[in-house]
Amino acid sequence: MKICSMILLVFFVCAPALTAEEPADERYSRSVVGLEVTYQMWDEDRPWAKTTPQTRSGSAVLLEGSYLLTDAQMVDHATLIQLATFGRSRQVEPEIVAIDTEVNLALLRVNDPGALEGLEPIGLAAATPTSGTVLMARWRGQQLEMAASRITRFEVRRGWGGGVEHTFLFMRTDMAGGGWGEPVFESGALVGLTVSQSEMLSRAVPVEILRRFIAKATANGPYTGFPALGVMWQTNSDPAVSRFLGQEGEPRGILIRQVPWGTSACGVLKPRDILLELDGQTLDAEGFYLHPLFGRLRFGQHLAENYDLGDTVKVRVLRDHRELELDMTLRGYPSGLDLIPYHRQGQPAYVIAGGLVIRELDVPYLRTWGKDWDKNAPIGLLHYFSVFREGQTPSSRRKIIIMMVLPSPYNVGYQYSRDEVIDSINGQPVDSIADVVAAFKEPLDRFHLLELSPGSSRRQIVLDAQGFESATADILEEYGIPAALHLSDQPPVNGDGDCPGDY
Amino acid sequence: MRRLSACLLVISCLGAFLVPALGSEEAALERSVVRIVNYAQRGNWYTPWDRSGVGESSGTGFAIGGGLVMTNAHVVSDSRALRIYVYNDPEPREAEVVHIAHDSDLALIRPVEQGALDDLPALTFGGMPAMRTTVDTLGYPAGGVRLSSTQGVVSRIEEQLYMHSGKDLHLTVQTDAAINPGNSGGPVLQDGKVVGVAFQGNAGLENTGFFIPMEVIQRFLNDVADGRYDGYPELGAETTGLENAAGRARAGMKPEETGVRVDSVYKGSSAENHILAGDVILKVENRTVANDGSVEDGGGRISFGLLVDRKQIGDSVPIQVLRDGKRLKVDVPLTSFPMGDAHGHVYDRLPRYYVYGGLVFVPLNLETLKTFGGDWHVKAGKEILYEFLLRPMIQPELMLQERVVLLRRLKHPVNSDMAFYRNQVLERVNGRPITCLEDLVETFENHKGDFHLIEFSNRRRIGVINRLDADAAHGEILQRYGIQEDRNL
Repeated sequence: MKICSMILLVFFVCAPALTAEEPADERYSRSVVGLEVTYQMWDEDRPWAKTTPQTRSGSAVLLEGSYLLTDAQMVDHATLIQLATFGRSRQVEPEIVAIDTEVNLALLRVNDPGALEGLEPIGLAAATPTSGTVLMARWRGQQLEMAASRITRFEVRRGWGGGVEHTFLFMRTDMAGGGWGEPVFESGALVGLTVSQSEMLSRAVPVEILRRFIAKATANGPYTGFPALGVMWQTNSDPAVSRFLGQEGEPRGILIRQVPWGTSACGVLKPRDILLELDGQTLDAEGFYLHPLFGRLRFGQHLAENYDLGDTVKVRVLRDHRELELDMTLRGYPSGLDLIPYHRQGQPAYVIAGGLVIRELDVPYLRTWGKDWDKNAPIGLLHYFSVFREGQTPSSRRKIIIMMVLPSPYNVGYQYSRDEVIDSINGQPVDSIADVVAAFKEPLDRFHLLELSPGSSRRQIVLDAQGFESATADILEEYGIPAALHLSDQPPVNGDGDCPGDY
Repeated sequence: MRRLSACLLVISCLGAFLVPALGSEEAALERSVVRIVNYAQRGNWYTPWDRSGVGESSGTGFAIGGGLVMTNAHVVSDSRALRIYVYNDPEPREAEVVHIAHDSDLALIRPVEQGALDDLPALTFGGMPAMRTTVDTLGYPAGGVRLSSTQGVVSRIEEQLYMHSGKDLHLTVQTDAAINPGNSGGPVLQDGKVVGVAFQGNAGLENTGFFIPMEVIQRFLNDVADGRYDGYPELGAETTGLENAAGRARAGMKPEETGVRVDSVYKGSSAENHILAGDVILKVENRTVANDGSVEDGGGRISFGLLVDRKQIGDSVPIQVLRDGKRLKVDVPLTSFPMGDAHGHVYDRLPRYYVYGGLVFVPLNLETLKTFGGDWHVKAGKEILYEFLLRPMIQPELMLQERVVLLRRLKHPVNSDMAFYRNQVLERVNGRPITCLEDLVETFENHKGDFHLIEFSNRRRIGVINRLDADAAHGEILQRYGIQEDRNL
């Protein structure tokens, strides 16, 4: 509380000081950049084709070193990124330095300094104010629109990708239709960047996370991302549960349920552990700890704000009625580690085999069932995402599906096999389109044999191996399909750690 | 409104036209075809200790001799009071159900007062009407008290879902005679003989109605001849077509052979141990099975499953299969398949449940899913849908069990901190696998530890309840929530 009132005081003192020197909008107008992004999605129903190009506009903020910071959604599937300031577009195409779909941030760089003439980078604030009013800014024609935004709360949520958690700054804003990378300023410095908005409630990533993202993005070597615990847990607020697990006194700490392969916790934490402390921070029964600035937050923020991948932290757990202290090496939770990835960069991985359109199952495909895809998509596919969200195992990295059959005399009888999971091809389990291609190279006798998962409309598809190549070629020709194959642009991220039986 | 009155006009004109045409035969029909009013009360699967309100519905039935009246099962289901109204007779007769077949939507009822309706002229049964011939449907649609007759053409004979059970496929006949609520259970006549029982419409098709053909009716009458209804046998083998030549060649079939592949065999079904996954069914009852699973039948084609449908439990069906290159003849003794019941609507039974520590436990079945609403496919949580629809296919042994769901909780200090208390399927309680509601009762009543440990089926969720606290609060919770009995098993 004391910290809060001090910051308030600082705010009230600083704000008039700034106005005296120069109107705030003129200062900020030299650092806010409009983005015009042309993007083109892949047609998930026809994975060999792209959909109509579309445009979206949003904002970015200029930082020291000719860097532009915006949200990752802005540049998703971009085919062209253009800058605009003072109502004029600038002839420059910034380069993408790093995109993090977990924290939903992207860092771009303009390599031609001349293109930034008249602009001025802005510095990062030392800390995000915890209350009061901040300014959200964006270009509207030749005017910089500045909207007062009142800070309402800080809350830890899953980011866009669903794997990493960090705190968001929630603001009640006067800006309509925000949430597309508008910088948030206070006292002449950047305190946050918006990533979404629902009606007049805007969500921004606070400067504490921005600072770490920029440091990771500008460091040497490939971008590594934010750490996450990655476990499935439940609250420990039920005294009956905590007593049962041997805890004395008030319940505290969280109850670990599952430890997915490849996560920080794999090989360290176990199901039915109560996680009591994370590097000295005590967790309450709901998983909250005391953040020095923002008050009580869920523990994900502690990891995201203070550590890098590869750092080691101490964890204290209650296991089998005994307290233990363990070392845990932090890993990320990239979307690619999910059994059904939430995001995919680039083209879907697919192959057309004898008219069977086979692809890797991911959330972009499930989204073809519309806005309520998580209710309307068939349960045979959806359950891998919504019932078993825990991730891959070393023996099951992806689900491979027949999304449809392009009817032809060659595949007659199989035309109703649609959105069904393939267990194996020619006796070999398949975890990627590369596996599928390899399996089709080794027919069983004179046949290709596909075994489909329980619950499929048919459990077996048999194709004639001899006619396979020519039938595929005929079908591609008949249906005007340019390529029979696209292998994944991103091979599955390799998990780490050893925790069989815990996931 | 205008359209309705126009319709009524047409129907009454038709009636006026029919009376002179049919003469005395029509007068007899009017006495044979009765109106049935049912006061039904169902259980409530959301508050399983409660019953729902009483509903009044009316349908049609017809005398078949011996004082018996035939009608649809759905006309007389969940009955608390049942009345028969004879044409032009102001006195209703209290009635009772003699036999009811929810799987084929047929029932026999009789007046409580023995012999009271023995004088009704019995209708006689005919056979299967030919395609494109005309049939008459008699009944009391839309709650009217005068007999109505509509005429239609037999337009399709096909296997179809019987909506009443929601899970059984049998032969049906489609006509373009309107079949409306109230027509249900009425006779469909051709040349003065009963050729079917009107039973359902199809909201997606205009001016169509469906009736139950003689084949199904006769099977029902044969089944109850021993005084008890046993129901349909089920083969219990999932098959898929072999339209693709590569599939047939790999199965080792000769070029002239046709058949279907057995994809899976249900545990506990007739086919178990007789038919194996991977077999090709070549012939059923000596009839050649085509690559789409159909067999020739009286000039048309029907699915081979209908040959099994015509049998009684205890009969056997000869099937020729191709297995590992050998052609074998197997006689499959036919049994029922009660494990499939979880997927059908429940009638004439009150919900099974058990309440402990304010936690309400029920079996996982269609009625439980329906508490999410008519569109439960979308509304129900994905986890419970997965447990109901998919997991038993992945783990076939689950088909033999009753799965138990923690439906919800009646909030009380003994359970108020529980993290998961809604629509969770149980895996184990106190280390004991839960294979039916009785298992659960047994462990809650006999476990001696301080805590009951409830392990849910997904994501290793657990719940714990303090045994002594829950036992002490038991009576109070029941009283607080107005529950008479803590269980119905």
